[in-house]
Amino acid sequence: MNVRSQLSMIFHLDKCIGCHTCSIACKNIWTDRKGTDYMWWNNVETKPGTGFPSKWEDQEKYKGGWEKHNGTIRLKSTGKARIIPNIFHNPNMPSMDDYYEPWTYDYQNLFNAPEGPDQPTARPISMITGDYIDVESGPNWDDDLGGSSIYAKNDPNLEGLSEEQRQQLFAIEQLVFFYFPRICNHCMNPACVASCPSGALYKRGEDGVVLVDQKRCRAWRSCVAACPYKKVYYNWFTGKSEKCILCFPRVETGQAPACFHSCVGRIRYLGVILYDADRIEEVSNLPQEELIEGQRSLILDPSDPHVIEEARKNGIAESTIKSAQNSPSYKFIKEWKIALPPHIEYRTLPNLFYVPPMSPVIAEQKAGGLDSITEDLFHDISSSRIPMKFLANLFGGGQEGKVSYALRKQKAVRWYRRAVTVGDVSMELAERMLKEANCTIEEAQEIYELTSLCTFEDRFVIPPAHREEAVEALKDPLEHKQSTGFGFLTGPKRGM
Amino acid sequence: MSLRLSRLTLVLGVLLACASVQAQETAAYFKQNCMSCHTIGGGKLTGPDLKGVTERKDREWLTSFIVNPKAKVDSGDAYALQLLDEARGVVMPTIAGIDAEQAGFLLDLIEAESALEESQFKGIQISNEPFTQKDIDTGLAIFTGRQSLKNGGPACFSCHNAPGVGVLGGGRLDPVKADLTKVYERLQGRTVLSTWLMSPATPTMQSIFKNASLEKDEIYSLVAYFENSAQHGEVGQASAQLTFALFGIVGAALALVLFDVIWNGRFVAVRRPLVDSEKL
Amino acid sequence: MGNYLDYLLFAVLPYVAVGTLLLVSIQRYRSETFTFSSLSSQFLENKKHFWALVPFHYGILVITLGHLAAFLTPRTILLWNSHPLRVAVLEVSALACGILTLIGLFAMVARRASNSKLRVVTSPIDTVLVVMLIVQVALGVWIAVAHPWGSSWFAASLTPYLRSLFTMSPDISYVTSMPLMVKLHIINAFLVVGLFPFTRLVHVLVIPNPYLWRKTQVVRWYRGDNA
Repeated sequence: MNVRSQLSMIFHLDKCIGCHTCSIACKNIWTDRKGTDYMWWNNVETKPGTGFPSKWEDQEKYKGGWEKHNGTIRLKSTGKARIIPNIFHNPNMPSMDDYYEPWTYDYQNLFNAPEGPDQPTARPISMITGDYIDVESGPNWDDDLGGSSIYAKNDPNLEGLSEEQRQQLFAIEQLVFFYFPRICNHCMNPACVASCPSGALYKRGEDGVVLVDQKRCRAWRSCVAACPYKKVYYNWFTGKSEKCILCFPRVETGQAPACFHSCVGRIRYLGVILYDADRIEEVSNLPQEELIEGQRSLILDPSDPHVIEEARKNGIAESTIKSAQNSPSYKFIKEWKIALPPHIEYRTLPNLFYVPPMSPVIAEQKAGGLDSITEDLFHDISSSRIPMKFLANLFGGGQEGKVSYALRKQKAVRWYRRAVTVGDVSMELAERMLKEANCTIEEAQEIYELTSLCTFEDRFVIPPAHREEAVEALKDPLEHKQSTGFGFLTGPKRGM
Repeated sequence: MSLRLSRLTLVLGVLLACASVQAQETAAYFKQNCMSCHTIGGGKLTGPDLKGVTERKDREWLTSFIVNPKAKVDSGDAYALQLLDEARGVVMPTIAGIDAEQAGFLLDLIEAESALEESQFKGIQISNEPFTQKDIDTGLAIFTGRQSLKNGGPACFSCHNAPGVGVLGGGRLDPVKADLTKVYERLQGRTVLSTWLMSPATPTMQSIFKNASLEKDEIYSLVAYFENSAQHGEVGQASAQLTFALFGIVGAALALVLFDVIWNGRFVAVRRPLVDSEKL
Repeated sequence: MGNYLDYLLFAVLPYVAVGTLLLVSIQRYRSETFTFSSLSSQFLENKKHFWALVPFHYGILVITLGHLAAFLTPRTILLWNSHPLRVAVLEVSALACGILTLIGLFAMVARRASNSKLRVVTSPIDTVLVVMLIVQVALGVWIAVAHPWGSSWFAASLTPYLRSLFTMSPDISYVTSMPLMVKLHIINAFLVVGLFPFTRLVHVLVIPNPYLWRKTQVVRWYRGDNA
């Protein structure tokens, strides 16, 4: 057993209101420099939709992540031998056109336009060339299913849905969507790290944050192609790849990452998990339907004396072990099993887990209202407007069982709380539901508290970083705003 | 006393050694720069036989001629003009960097060699027997490099063209002079050609062959080959170069096609085709 | 006068060029590691990129290796060239690669000129470099066609010259009698070598060699040991 600690994240989608505050918080801190203008280390997608970059989940095209090959796994896009012929032109590299051309507006024209019969306008200007452009696309172009049905219709997760289900999903006045905020998953088996020919990408041993060493990156672009979540971005100006750094300078000083901190819906949780690094390869190689359980089995019980002993042997600090024991992530993933990894079939073993969202049932107006209770207590789960298959494609590695388990437990908790506070449902019924959802009353109470009444300290259990001597922590980060970026303290000067 | 004697011996020895080193250097110098046109006691080539030349003319005249032959000819010197006439109008080339001192060493060498029964610079004597087909074939093999040169020199084919070496022809380092089809005629037959081959005199060949001179049997075969080609061969056409260029262009085009096939599934765009497909 | 110029170009310039390459590259790597990047622009333009960069890189790679082989093992090249057919095979492949490189270079220029986004990431030194490379490769292709067979006479005549440079006893007699185009090719080659460390060409110095034998995943610890 090789115990490692990892900062693990939970996004509770049932609480996400799609306000993009997280994206803006991140943008203002990290990606306001030239060349990073198009990057959204944190972005919020509307599902169904094609996301950012368009159709990133379509690995037939993007070739991200790992695939099984001759009994082991290999990167879909590149590899040790395949890097050599492909280094001059990466055959799986998306271009800016698949993201969007970043733009600002010609605001000065509002003040400087000569007097005339028309109101002056602020035309969009490309942030790359400075020319006027026609904006054709943006990082959330299909937000709230706005603008066009093209994007939603082409969501790769619709695969396997019947024509009827698809029509239902998009029927006028019934159409439904949910939000899917995304950051880097800081995977246990990161494809980006494995693909980097320079060895510039690495995973930090202490907290598992995946970073790009800006001094070693040589713009071979493999990481952009290899990351199945398209969360490594190429800085077109400096010729370096950049990605979400989980706000490690904040985390190291005990603060939650900016997107976590700013989240209006309080959907985000951060905590340490301990996992067995020796089994990463074995688990990544499991058949698709065993991947979710496999990853759960990697995550170790931080209260198990044997695990604690092994963790100590590996130099994991006492404070980190203690933090892992209080981790909200561990509860969501392993105890309650209501948080699921996105697209586990990419085999990178992501460390960002999502609590799948509830959605309205397909309403059929009947006498006596909508809450009629039938024999099947969870009938509304299976008849959600968002087909179970869609959620399963996204969070269950194709298995509806994992998703419905999470949704049933959530519903049972709601009904239990309804029995407690409103009282229009009998406690007997609520307890029956909890039982069928494999949930005890204590667990239901805990889930309720952590999802509804959670404080800052409940949501973010951040271990001390033990990097008190680190140079970066002593410097003023704002001193280098718009110039330095992060990591080292010389300007990111573009090469000649 | 004995000490002084031994000192004297030492000084003398050093002097002698110096002299012999000087002689050796001059011999090499002669071989590189003079031997393609002159022999010592081997008869006239392009230039006159130098045996006893120091007796025919005084050293002062000879020195000034060696240092700058063209100037001497231009000055209208009678003997110089006579030599020019005998050499059928070929002016002796000025050796790069030669001075009066070097010319003196050369004259010393010529004087010494003239006194010998048989000078090492007598040149090569090829019999007048007709060459056999085998000689000619060997010559071609040496020319193209199929039979490599014993002393490690590169094959003639590298820089020269001649008949019978294939569709693309031979080399053309110097586009004008590189064709050796008629070299046998240009150098007036066996003797001059073979002596020339003993010590090739163009600056390029000189630098290459100074440490890799041809063996006598190699020269024999080459002369056989050149004689044959002068009689029967056609001077190479520029079409060989055109064919070569065409081959190159076709090769490049094939490579482009190959690239396209190998990377047929390369990523081009996702978003735009997606949007465009709906516009139709 | 001609002698002094020859001496300057073929015996002094090489040392200046290689000295610049070594000193500036090392200094740049030490003080401005960040600037060591291939500065790929594939992200800004993905279609023409293939038709420019792939032919260029494969072409120049084969050509450079060919020159290197002729320099390191001239005997092998001469041995291979001991039959006209084999010379033809070698020379046609080399010429094809030269033409491929030239196609790639022209495609690069066309690509950068036609895209306003790419012009933003094109520096003056990029322009100088691409012009010098075009001159260099065009001269090379010209020489291949006009002065065959380069593979043989390079090994016989220029290898000794280059080796004489390496042994610090330059013997320029090998090159002074070469045709003008060959001389220009040699001079421009040394100029490119001298310009090398000031351009994006430095990415050649940091080709990703450890990738092939390192562990798949890279983990770094505060305490310094990497696993």
